Amino acid sequence: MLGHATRPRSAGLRGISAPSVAMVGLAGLLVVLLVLPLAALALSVPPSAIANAALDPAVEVSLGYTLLASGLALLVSLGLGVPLGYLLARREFRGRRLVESVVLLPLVLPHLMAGLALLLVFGPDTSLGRALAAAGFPVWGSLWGVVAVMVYVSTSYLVQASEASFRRVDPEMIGVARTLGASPADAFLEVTLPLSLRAILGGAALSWARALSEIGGFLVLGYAVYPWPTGSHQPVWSPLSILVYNDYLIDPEEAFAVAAFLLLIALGIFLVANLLDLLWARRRAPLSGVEP
Amino acid sequence: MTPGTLRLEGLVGSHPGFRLGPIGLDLAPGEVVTVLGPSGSGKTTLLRAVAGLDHLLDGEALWEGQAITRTQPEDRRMGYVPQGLALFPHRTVEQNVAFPLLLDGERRTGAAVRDLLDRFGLLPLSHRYPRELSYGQRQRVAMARALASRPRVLLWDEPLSALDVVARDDLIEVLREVTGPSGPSLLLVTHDPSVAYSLADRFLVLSSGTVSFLGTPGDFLRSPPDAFGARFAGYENVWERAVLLGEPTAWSRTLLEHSGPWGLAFSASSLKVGAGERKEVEIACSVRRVHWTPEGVVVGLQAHGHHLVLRMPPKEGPPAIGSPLTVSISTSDLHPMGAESSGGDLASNRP
Repeated sequence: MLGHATRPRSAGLRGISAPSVAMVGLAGLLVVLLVLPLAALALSVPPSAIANAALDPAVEVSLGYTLLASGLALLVSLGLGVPLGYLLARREFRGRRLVESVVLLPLVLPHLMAGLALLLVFGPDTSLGRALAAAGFPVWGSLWGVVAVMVYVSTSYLVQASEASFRRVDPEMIGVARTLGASPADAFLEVTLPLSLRAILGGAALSWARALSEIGGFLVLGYAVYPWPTGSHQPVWSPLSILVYNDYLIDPEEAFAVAAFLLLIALGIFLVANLLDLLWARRRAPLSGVEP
Repeated sequence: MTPGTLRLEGLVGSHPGFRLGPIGLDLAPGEVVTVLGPSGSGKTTLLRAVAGLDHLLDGEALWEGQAITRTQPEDRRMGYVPQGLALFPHRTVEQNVAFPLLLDGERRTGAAVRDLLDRFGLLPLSHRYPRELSYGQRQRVAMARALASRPRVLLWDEPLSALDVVARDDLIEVLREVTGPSGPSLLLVTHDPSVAYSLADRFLVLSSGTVSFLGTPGDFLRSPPDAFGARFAGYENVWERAVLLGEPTAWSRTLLEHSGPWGLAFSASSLKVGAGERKEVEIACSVRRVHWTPEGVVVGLQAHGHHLVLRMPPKEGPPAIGSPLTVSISTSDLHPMGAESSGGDLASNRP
């Protein structure tokens, strides 16, 4: 083992040990497994079919619906998730660990079960479901149901990201801000939030992506939003995932074209998000409040 | 009460597994009190308690006679600089220093901020971020930022640590300028004796959360409070009372007569080679080790199983290792540890 400790680092193959080769091989295998289906999807559909899918009124209507629902879900998640993340990071209270575990529950629940569980609370036969319907927010079979499912399955990512980012801000920094004249609100807005924002936005992006990809919960709680199966590819005010699923059952070629179009959109969002993150990182170097 | 005075009355704070206090102190306008003590003695806890950042179990903090114990940190105007500095990494040097003014609604960096940047030599660095600065530069930013809030009292935790001697002496000069009779008073935690002696009007020594000494540096040198204090004072020979009690020799009895409640201490240079005169204590030793320093030859001695350190002038040749050597010390060079030389200052610090 002494030989390993004294061996100089080498850029050539001679300096790479067998465990390193194995690790690189396994990592490479995983990357290929992740990329291969996406590449196959992109390559299996001719560009003209993707262009047709992009101009398809049914896709456009569903895309609009999905963006609206996921946007609303993101607003709700931000409004509820960031304060919870802050409390979990900054306050010691009885049951904090229990709340942390509860926040993680939707991540481990099968998606259909999440829809069924929500149906038991917001369904048309429940008192809460009836009360919300009477107030103009019928959850079952409506946009609100889809938003509810999206919030339920995606907020955990945002809470986790918020909690982790708030936890990274040095409490001493908040204390010093207070002694410099900052009220608790000033300290949050001027110190905690700017230092946490990048990570929170990262969590929001993840949460949004999770909401966009949901389908299991919709099939239960939002069932009536799409008269499945319709038997034809019609513009219907419904989530894209339902449209693709329905197309797959009826007309797989159409489903692949829409899926390839969605893949392009997802890649575009991914690239723009990464570019913005890179620009942010260059402008303000440290992510956390911890001094280097 | 005198305007500009901070008074701590029986202040008791706590952290999990640690209790601070009771602490009593009157900090006069412009006064510099250096807080000393071993690690874990409560120095930082004291500063945080005064800043209002930690909950107090008991006692009062008063500013000009008015209780501020329940005043929020933002309304106390205590310029706290923690050991980690806590600079805002998303703000430039100038934005860090201007932070207190921005909170006051001053949207433009005023002349006051530029003056502070200039005074701390930060003008050329004003557009840099903290990560782009050396530790010494960051220390200066933290000091300038604390001063920008126009504090009544400065609470600084090791502000000059990890600096080279020249940079440290420069900053000590700046600190002398910004404190002083017309400036804020300063409660300064340091482990560096040269910083402490350069700036302090008084020393406050903490030991396990309680005050073991409160008085002038002169009092401190005459009678350090305990073994930690004696080491901080620079005395190489520290004899605890229990050790002297267990030693049956004539010299140990004489030392015991001159020791304080915790024992006594003396410097290596106050020991002389050879027999002493009437008022001197003679100790027969053997030479254990010898090494050279710019100030002279340092000789490690052993007497009845106890270690002593002797410093001889450079012109005297070092004794041979293992050879017998008689040393002597004048009783006037003995410093009792724990003798209350600080008058009534400690009275309010008794549990």
